[in-house]
Amino acid sequence: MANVKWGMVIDVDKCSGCQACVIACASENNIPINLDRDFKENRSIAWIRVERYWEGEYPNVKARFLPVLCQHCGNAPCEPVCPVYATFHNDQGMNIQVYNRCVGTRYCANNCPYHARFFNYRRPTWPESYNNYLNPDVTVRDRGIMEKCSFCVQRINAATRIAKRTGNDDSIAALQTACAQACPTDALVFGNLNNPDSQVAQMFDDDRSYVLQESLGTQPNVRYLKQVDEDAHASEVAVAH
Amino acid sequence: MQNGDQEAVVIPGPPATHEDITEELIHVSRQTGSRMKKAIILSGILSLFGFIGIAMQMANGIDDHTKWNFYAVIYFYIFSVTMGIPMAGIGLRFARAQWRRPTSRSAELFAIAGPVNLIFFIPILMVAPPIEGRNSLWMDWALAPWFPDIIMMLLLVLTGLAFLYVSLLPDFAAVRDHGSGFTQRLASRLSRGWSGSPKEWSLHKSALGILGAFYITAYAMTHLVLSSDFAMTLVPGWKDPIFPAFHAITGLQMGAALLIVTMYLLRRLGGLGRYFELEQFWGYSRLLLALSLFWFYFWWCAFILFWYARLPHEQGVIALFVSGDFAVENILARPQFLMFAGAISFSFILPFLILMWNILRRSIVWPTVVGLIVLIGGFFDRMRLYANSWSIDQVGGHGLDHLPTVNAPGLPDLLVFIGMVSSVLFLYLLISRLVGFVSVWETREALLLRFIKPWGVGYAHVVVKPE
Amino acid sequence: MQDRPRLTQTQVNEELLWPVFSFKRRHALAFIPPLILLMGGVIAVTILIYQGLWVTGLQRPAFWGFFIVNFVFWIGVSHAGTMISSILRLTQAEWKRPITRAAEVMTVFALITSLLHPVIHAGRPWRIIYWLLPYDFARGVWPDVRSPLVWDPIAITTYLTGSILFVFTALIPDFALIRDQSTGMRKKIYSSLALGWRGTPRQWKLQGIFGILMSALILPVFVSVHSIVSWDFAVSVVPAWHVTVYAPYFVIGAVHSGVSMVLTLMALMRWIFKLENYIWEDHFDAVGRLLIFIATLWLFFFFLDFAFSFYTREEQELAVMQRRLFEWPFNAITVIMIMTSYVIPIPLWLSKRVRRNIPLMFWTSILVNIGMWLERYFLIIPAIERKNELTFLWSNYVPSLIESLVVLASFGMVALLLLLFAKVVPLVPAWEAKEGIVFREDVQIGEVIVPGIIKETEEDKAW
Repeated sequence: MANVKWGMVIDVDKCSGCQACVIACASENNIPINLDRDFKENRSIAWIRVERYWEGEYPNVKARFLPVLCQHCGNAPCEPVCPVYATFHNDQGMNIQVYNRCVGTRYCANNCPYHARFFNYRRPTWPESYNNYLNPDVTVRDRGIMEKCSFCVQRINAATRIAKRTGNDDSIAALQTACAQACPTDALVFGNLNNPDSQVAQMFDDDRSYVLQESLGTQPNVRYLKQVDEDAHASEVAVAH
Repeated sequence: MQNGDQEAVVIPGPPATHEDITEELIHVSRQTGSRMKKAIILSGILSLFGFIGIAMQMANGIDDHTKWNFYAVIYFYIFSVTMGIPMAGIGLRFARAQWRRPTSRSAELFAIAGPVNLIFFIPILMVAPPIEGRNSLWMDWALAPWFPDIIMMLLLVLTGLAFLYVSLLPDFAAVRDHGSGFTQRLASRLSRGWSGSPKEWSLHKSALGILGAFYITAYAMTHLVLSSDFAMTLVPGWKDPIFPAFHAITGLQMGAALLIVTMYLLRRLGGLGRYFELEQFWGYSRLLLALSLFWFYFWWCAFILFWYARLPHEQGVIALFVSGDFAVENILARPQFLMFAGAISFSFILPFLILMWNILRRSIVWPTVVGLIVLIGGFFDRMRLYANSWSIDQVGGHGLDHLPTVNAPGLPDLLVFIGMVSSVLFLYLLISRLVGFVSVWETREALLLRFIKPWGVGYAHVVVKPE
Repeated sequence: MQDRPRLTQTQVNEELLWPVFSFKRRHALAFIPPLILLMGGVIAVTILIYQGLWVTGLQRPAFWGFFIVNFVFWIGVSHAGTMISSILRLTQAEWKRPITRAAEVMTVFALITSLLHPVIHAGRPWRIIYWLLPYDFARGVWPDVRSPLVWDPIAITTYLTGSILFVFTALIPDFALIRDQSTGMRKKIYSSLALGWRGTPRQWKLQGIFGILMSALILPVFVSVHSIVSWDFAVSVVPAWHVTVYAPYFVIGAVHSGVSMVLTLMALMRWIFKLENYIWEDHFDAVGRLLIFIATLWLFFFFLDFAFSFYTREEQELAVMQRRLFEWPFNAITVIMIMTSYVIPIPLWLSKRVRRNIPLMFWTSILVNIGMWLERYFLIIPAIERKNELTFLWSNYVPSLIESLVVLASFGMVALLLLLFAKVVPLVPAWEAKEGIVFREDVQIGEVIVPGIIKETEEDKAW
């Protein structure tokens, strides 16, 4: 499956800030449940998070939502700085985190301009009843280990195995990450950028598409589509965020 | 202090008494033979070429700074070399390195290059583009960069001249007391009644200390201001806080190189071999080795950041100053790369490979050879920096997206180079007719600080450390 | 000029060797404060490793905090040993004599202390300890040499090895001295340590050559170690860390901090071990003068970093400077840092009377180190608290008790190791002190008697 390049397009115009993606990701990837304490300590783990920015003065206040996840950068700043090779780029365009190699120096997290990396300051614990709820395809990370969005690599691997077994690419084409699957407005679109027929490839170079922090030259595989401002004239596409 | 009458051991005497030194330095070394006369006249005439060169450049127009790129190269090259030399004398004085004594006058005398630098700085000020639209240290101050840069240059030049004057005072008195003719009358005016009392010497020492410290500060700050205003701000996206330090330390390296070459010439052509001996060359060669290593270190500090982080606007800076292209193919054809290759080879690789051997450091010829190599390397380096940055026509913006075409040097630039070098040489030779190339009071002070005494079966040297 | 005491060799032996042969009360009592601090640190580290990093104040996006600041601080302090020893040895300065060993050994202990910090700050210390060694321990994966965190241990262990060799070779004559004065078990131990030193001219010559060689070789190491540590920050893409001047800035800051620490050490040594005959006001004077130059050079590099932060007027970097200059607690930290690192000490040190006043030198040197510790905090923390454009995640780092205990314990550890070292070997090199006495020659010039030194030089050159 070397010809695959996974990417995602996020239409900020469609995002309603509902955070279904956050919940879906947390369920799919065995992310520890963030308590009040974790938010107060700024240690909450959310591989995808919806950032909320306020604009304007009362009564014309608007909330702008920006879902941010690991951008799987082509020129990733997090990769060369890991002393133990716990993070690297694979041949499908993804940035991989190897949990059992990570020693937790957290340099990768400092170097990620998108704040997309998370550290397990505590050993994650779940209530007893949760044990049946955990996803058996995903490792549970212990304390001292970095984690981040993996583009649901377990689903990618499963789809790859099915494709090999059945001999056709239907499973790959139908593949969705948990966040994209859960999004009620289809704001998140995931797929193979190398497949010109895929929706994500067509949206990737849209007029409205932009890259977060482009001046850093990270070449992310995640692009955003600019919000269409309803207050603007119909002939203009104003950039809100 | 017992010197001659020993029973068992023959102790060598000092090479000179106070009278010998005075005689040699006041009379012998200030004699102006025909060769010296010809050199002074020739350099005087060639200095005028500099002004012809400026006039020709002005005729080309002062609006387009890209045509002045090589003028900037030459100016900043001469500025870096000449303003750094007095630093060598001052720094070594603070470090109490006694071996520097015969050389400090020849180093301090380069302060007379200051006015030359000031004059040739004026076109630079006129041609440089205004501050708006480009990054700068001065925020939006309308008077910048002209006002602060002139002030800094004036401070530096005047401090250098003041330091030179204070250092010369006892020697003016020596010429007044032992010389004759026109120079004796001039020196007696300039010596302002110096009588050599303990109080005067103490004041003299404090004044040299304060002026020396001030010169070092002014040197660092002037390099900061000039290098950022006339190089860094011209390149979009170039933010490099270490660049002023790189500029200052490479100036020092070039200055040390020129000083070694000067010492060699004074030894060969000036008959001052007794004063410019192996110990002096060894000392300066170690300094040159350290400064060459610093060239690499300061360059590398910038390069590793730009190279490692792979930020797009910094990639442009690497292309401009190192690789000469955004891609690596055909690198040898790029002028920027060739300039960089010349700079690093002659400023670091060759000096390091040669001076790392102590046998070569402890010689007279090899440090001189390396001095010449470093002077060439310094020219490549200033060319790399200024020819490229002054070729950029759009000076605003966040990053460099295309490399500029570098205008080649022309006849006016050659004339300016000849003019600047000759004017410095002219003034240097002229003032040496008044006070000589070696400092009388420092060399005589050295006699007081070293003794020989019997020690065991031979003799030992006693070095006095008054502090 | 101070009247310098004329000591006999027996006197030197007695006054320098008494901590080795006896355990007097002064020495014993001096152990108590560092032991207390160290105990606090041991408890803190135990809790830290057992419980996890959640007991610290680290969070997102400030993933590095007190431990890294302290790590950089102690690497900085370790530079003093080399500075004083190598450069003074190479320039043949007389005033190096009593302080070289203490400075070199402080380097070694500071390096050891600082090496503990990357271990305890890692998420899995039990792994990082050996996975950074140059070997493929786990499934054929070697450490990644692209990472500055791999350059760090390489540089630091090189420096540590060089410093240990340096210290040890300078110790050999004193090991021999103790060997010759002791009996029994002590004699056996020191005999092996002294490596058969007999004090023959050839051995002295070799020792001298090694000292010069090692001094020259360790200078590039010393410059590169702190440069490499600074590149941990500078090669990243974090806006206020990605600053080219960090390497020489950190090095000169390290020298400033370290040489001030040497001043503190000199004063403490003189007091605890009664070394008034060996550590004179002249030494404080000389170190003070050196420090004026170093501190001013530090100020120049600080100014470069500071001025060029505003240069591009980029929002991200301005936000970090805003935090550094105007927001609590950094506004106070910045002011305290400038005052204690430069504004208070340096004008004081310009006066010779202050430089020769030992209590004043002691307290101002402590001020400098407070300032330099805060400088590391100033450089490192605000940049990651205000990292990049996604301001939604900007937050403030508040250090916890565990981290503070560890920082304090690091001082205790270095002090404790120094006190233990004093029990094993004289802190002032006895052979250097004796050399200074033997080679001293007072000379009369005119009416004044000035001290002079006897030096060897080549036979053919009289002058």
